[in-house]
Amino acid sequence: MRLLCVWLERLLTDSLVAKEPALAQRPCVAVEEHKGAMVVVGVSALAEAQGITKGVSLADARALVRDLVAREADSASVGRLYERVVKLASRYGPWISEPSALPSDKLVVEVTGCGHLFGGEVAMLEELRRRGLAEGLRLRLAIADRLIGAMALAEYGPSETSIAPSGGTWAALQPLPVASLGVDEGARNAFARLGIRRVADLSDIPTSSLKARFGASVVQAIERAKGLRPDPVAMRPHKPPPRVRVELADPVRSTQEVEGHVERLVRALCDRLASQRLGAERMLVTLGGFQNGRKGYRRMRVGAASPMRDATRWMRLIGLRQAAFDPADGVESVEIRALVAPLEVEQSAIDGENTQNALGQLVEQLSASLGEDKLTRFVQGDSHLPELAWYRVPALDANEERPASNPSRLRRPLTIFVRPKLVEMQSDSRPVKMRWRGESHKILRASGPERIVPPWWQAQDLEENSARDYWRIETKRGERLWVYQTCEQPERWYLHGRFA
Amino acid sequence: MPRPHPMNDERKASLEALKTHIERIELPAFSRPPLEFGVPSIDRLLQGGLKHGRVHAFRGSAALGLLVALAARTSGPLLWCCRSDAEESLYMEGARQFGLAPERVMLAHCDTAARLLASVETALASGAVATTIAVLDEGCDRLAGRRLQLAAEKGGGIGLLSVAGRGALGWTETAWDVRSLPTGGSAPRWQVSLIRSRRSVTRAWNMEWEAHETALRLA
Repeated sequence: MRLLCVWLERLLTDSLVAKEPALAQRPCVAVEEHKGAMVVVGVSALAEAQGITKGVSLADARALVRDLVAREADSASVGRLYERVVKLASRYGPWISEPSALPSDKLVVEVTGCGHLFGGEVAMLEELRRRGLAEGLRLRLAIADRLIGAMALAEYGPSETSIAPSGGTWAALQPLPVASLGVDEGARNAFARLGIRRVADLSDIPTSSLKARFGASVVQAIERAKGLRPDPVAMRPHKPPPRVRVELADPVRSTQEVEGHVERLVRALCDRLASQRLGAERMLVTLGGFQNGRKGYRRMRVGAASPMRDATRWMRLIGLRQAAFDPADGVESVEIRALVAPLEVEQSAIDGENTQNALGQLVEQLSASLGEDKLTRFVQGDSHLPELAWYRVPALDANEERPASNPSRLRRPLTIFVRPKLVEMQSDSRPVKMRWRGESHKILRASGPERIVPPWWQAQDLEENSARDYWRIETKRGERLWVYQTCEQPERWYLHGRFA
Repeated sequence: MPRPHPMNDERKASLEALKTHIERIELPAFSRPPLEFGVPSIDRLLQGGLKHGRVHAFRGSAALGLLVALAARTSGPLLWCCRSDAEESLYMEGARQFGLAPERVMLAHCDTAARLLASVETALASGAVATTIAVLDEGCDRLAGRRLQLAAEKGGGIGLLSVAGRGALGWTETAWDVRSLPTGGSAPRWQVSLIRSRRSVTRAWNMEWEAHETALRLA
């Protein structure tokens, strides 16, 4: 059996970059909370070059690299990235490892007898590596007879692609560090004490003393690598996301006709989903055709609040987007792909009776017409800076966790200016008179200052990062405003919000 | 010129009964109790409070304050529609101090005025949210207003609009002008004028927002 192992060396940080492309240019780390401290769990290549390793605390990492960007590891985008790699790798063999069977950053494809289809195993790995690079992913790849060998070579192999010839797994492992065998921590410590660094160093030790000194796990690993003991991995056939497609003999030029084709495909897709007890979470509609004499594709992406397979509701969502669609140059192909999730029984539509259902439909409809990131819910951030105290998440992602929120005891304005307005202010120890929108406002009451200081680890020499002194003021006309001066430039006053 | 017949009590009563009867026929979704101010004199004048299945408009410098304080008295999900390019945005911490729970609020950012009105109309007509709030940069013409009103009647929820400018508000159920007054202490104080009402006389009050009790009261 030949197994191809893919190791996603920087899965966590790559998934952050996939979400925020700007991060690619900066050293960044993925962090997770462990026992109340933020710990680095993923390091980008740039950050690693500056000396950051996994397992250090975020505070230590920030001490090392001043402009480090830290983001919380995000399981949803990690999952999306993993699926992209599954899709890439599934070209090379019919069986893919169950994600739960392996560490989250590895996957295995069975490629027995597949090598010649790609011009040999070397060419196969090279092609996969290049395809990964084209998607911005650095993949480390290995092929070996045994799972343990493929995983060890992928992670510890001398180059990005390594191959252990058939029957040669144990030999190929010889130069690798002993950690590559995946033994437990006790055994690793014992190896370190005795100066055993490479797998080759283990070859000379008799099996009986290996077991007595380092425990059974080491002997088992060696036997698995040598082929003396089974080395199973749970696999599943790769199922691509359901896809329906129609090629049109003649370009279609009327919107109505295009919609007819789309509807037929949506119905076919929903029927198929029903037979597999699946529902679609997202649908991607691709219309192929000519645009200004050139072949082009137009894509529409619509999402549902929860998995569904009701063709009429899907059509309503897709139809909204088609308002901006003009098939003047003709459509030659229509393709619909769905992102699916299990869905046992779908509720029948009960108009108006079920408000939960109605709310879901409203969320879908508005998300489709405004854009998914335009319909949002509030989530409290863990910052005391007014701009960062609340952030918003798409309402479609209904299962987003919402942490319990603590109301502030300090008075806060009802609205804030997205960009604080520079105002002219006369002040002695407190604000006295303000000019704003060309009018002069006498200030009758002022309470403050309330000092809001940015986190200590942010550079404080920039004006926007400076500490601010906030005042609540009331003008002669009764308008209640929230103004601040920065500690860097106390003569500059900004209007930040309005109390009602 | 013939003088109008003075209306006696009996005729007045039968006219009222007829009006309520017609109302009941017209508004099948009209089952929710009106949204009360919690101030007896105002609620009495409005015959219970702000009616559901209707659109109510607020303008003036402190319009949003009264609007949020009233919205906080409703229950269920709430949709807040505003322009994505607006200078000012809702600050949840402040809204919470008017009693509005953050987990109720869904925010729709619309890039054009037309899309904003369309979203409000969709939400009102769906009946999925009990309260729909729209922050309009400019007024809204009679036709668009009428559409919103019909959508509210269909869905049965309440529409609260914050309207800038001087546009006519004849199509609304009630229209309010809310201005800040100098405060005595820390409680926000407003001059609240009912400038239009379909079924009552117009009046003005001085009101205060009592933050500790999350309640409105006459000043």
